[in-house]
Amino acid sequence: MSRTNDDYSGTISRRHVLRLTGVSGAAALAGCTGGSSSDGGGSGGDSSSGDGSASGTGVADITLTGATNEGVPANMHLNPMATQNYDWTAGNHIFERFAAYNFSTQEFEMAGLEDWSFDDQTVTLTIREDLKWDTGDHVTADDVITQFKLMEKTEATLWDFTDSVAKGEDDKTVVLTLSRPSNPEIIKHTLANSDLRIHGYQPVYNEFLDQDAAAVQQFEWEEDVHGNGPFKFDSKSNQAWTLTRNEHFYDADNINFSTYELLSRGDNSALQQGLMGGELDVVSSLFVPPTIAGNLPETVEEVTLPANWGYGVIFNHNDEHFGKRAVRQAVAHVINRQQVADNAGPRTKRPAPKVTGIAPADQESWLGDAYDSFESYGPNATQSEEATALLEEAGYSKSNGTWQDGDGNALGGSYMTPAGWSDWTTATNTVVDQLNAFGFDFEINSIPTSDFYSAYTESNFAIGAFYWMPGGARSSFPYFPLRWQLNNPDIGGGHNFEETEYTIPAMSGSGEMTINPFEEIRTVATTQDEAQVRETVQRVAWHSNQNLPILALVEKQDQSWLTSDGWDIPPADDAARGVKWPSHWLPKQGKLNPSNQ
Amino acid sequence: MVNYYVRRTARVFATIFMVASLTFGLIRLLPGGPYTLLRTRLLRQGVPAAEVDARIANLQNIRPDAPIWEQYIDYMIALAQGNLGMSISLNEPVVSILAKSAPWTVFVVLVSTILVFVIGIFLGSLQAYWEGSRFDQVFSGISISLMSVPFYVVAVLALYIFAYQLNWFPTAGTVGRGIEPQLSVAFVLSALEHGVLPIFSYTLGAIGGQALAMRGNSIQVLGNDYVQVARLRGLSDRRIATRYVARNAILPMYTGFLLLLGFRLGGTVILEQIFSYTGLGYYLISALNTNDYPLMMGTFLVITVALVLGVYVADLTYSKIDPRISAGGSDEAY
Repeated sequence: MSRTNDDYSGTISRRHVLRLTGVSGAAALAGCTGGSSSDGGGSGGDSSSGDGSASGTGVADITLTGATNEGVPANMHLNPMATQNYDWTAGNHIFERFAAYNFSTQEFEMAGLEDWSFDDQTVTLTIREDLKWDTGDHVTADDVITQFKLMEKTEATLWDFTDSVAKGEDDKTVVLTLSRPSNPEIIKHTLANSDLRIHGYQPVYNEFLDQDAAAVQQFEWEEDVHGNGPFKFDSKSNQAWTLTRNEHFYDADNINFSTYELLSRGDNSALQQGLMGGELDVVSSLFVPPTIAGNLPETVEEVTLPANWGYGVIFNHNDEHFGKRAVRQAVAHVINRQQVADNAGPRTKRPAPKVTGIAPADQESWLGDAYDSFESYGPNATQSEEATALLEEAGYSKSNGTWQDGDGNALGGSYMTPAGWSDWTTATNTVVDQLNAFGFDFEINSIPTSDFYSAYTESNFAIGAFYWMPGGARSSFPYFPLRWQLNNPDIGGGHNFEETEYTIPAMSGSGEMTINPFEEIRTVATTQDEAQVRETVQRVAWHSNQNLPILALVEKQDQSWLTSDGWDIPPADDAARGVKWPSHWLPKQGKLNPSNQ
Repeated sequence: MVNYYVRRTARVFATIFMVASLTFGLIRLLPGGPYTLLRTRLLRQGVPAAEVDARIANLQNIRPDAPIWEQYIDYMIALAQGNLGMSISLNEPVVSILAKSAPWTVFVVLVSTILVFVIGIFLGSLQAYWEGSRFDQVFSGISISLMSVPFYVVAVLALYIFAYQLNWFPTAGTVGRGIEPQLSVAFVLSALEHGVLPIFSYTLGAIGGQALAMRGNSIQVLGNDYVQVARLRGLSDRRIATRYVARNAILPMYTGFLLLLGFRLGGTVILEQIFSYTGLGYYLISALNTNDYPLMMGTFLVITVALVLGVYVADLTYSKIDPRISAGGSDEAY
């Protein structure tokens, strides 16, 4: 927090606290390079200025300081539909979302919507009566319809199952007509996806209705920006975004401070330093290694949230070796997942309990009684015997400590991994060590991120590191990750997992079963009966566990940061911390306000 | 003589042309295309893959990937017209990005390089003057130590100590927030305040090298017959030091100064990253990360042209400064 008057001059400054902590900085410096590119954020900056006057009743002229590492704010804009240079860290404060998924309660929470109802092929969305633009005008059904129509042009996921959109019985009701009966959970997750915001301000967006999708995706909204979120756009510069409290926001009374500033920082180390030096009050998402986290001031609090994402192994199913189920299973048996998690980040990584396509936190609830029958592949051991038996049965033999096929070719080759994702590099080293110790013959092929995806997309690999779930709140609903493992759209299906019937051991433990996992998981999208959905999910998850389209290894926890120095923050057990990201969600709940206010 | 200047000028253009062609080719050998990082970023942002692909397909429809030879010809023609194209990642003319960022880099490099020379020459002269004294020994040791410390280590330490710990200087940026970029006292003071740490980091280590060079040159000059003669003539030490020794010792460093300016422009990449200082180097890294070819080419070109011009000016002016060098032939400065 940047104080704008001397009210707190008697209290000890955070910078002074930091100075007292002394050695902490050296550790931070040591760890400041090469942060995982999958994590992010940056911060720092100047002290803010102000005249010390209150800007409204009960509202202190105080600045909450966060950060963005999306790019230099002067070059960024606020059109959420744009393909490039939209700064979501700022946009999330300016545009309210429809709804949100709470990772603590595992339930949805309404935000810009008052209600949603699902009836066969109709979804009715009721916009909050008091949801207004920062101009004071109501957010109407027409605003949302304009946005949805533009989303149709841009081929947004919503339109995968939507046929048409129309105004309901009043100005606050939007009715989606579905192309087929759809599972409400899928629609809920689509609407609550964190990147979907209510932003269809008609005076700005209506003109794009008659143009190609590219027009709205190229549009850079920098002037006359109007949102409906807790803060409104004030200014941007090379150094920062400045947002001010939106008095027309429906829960504006919950916010007792005037300004939210997002400092622009290039890399993780600047963010870590910012937290350490008290320059930053909040950081939405930032990977902080244990050595640095241990040295942060006591007032800095870490909030961990499931990333529904994590390190796994991907196979090219057209490869002569890794296309064989037995070899994939042998790899799974050899890898000690606990060790991988311990080496790559004991604070933020956990081994996947069961190797399948369901997020770890949701595995027991979805699998129910079947949970125990799922193969564990030894989460904290190298199961050499099982792996040996599988490979021998598949026609491989061990010679001079290396597994070989019938022609004497060593089982191994190049193991791809993205360069610069520091925690992933550690995980890859551990995995390859374990595999080679068992008798595989792998060498690590570390490639730049820019080439990483294209190598997989072009199927130019045999085996390598890849995340095993798509990430985000959506992955809490097994339909998304299970389907994703099969067709992997992130790499255009480059792992060549064929859509066909597979014969695998039966779930009952005896005999076999035949399953086309693609077909079965697709049925979930159109099934509204919960029991039936659960049964299908269990069958496809079982297939994933047995056939290993992608091998799940560890789950990552996202780290979000708050500070209690000068700010009141909710206790660790408060469920409100469970919505991503706390620095976005808590202020409007009235749970992140200046102390003594 | 005129012929020499013409040839020399022609060579500047030939060098720039070759550098432009070479970097054009090399940059396109980089793995991945301009949208790979954008795709990764959108995926990590939580945008579903199919939607990401649709968005990028739309972008490509606007800016399709032409064959390389076509891109090359287009680029060269545009370059000749002073048009560096549009940045792919920032969707803004490269020229305007360079215009915004180059002054900051030039400011840091120019001030730093001048300081390096002024302080280095001063220290080196004193060391030579008192050759063998304790002062000379101590400062030679310090100079060697400074030379061996990379500037980015100084930068990280300076940032940590003076910005984060002592809070004397800002931690990032070129000017304070809310300060309009116009010629005002507030703006100049803020720019200076933000420039102190980058300039300090970029200057400290380099001083050692210049001081030692100046010391060596001065000692060499001091051993020359004409200095001995000057002494025999009974000239004052001050006159000998300034008119005879310093002038001749500085002479070889003149070309070094111009060249160093050019070289150091390219060295700010790491410096600007550390201080989140939005100059040329900052945008070069950003362009590299996003495979933004036009922006990469633009920043490379500015740095190259600065170096080539540095050499050119040194070549043309060296004979003016040192009349012993006659222009032409093999008497080029570099």
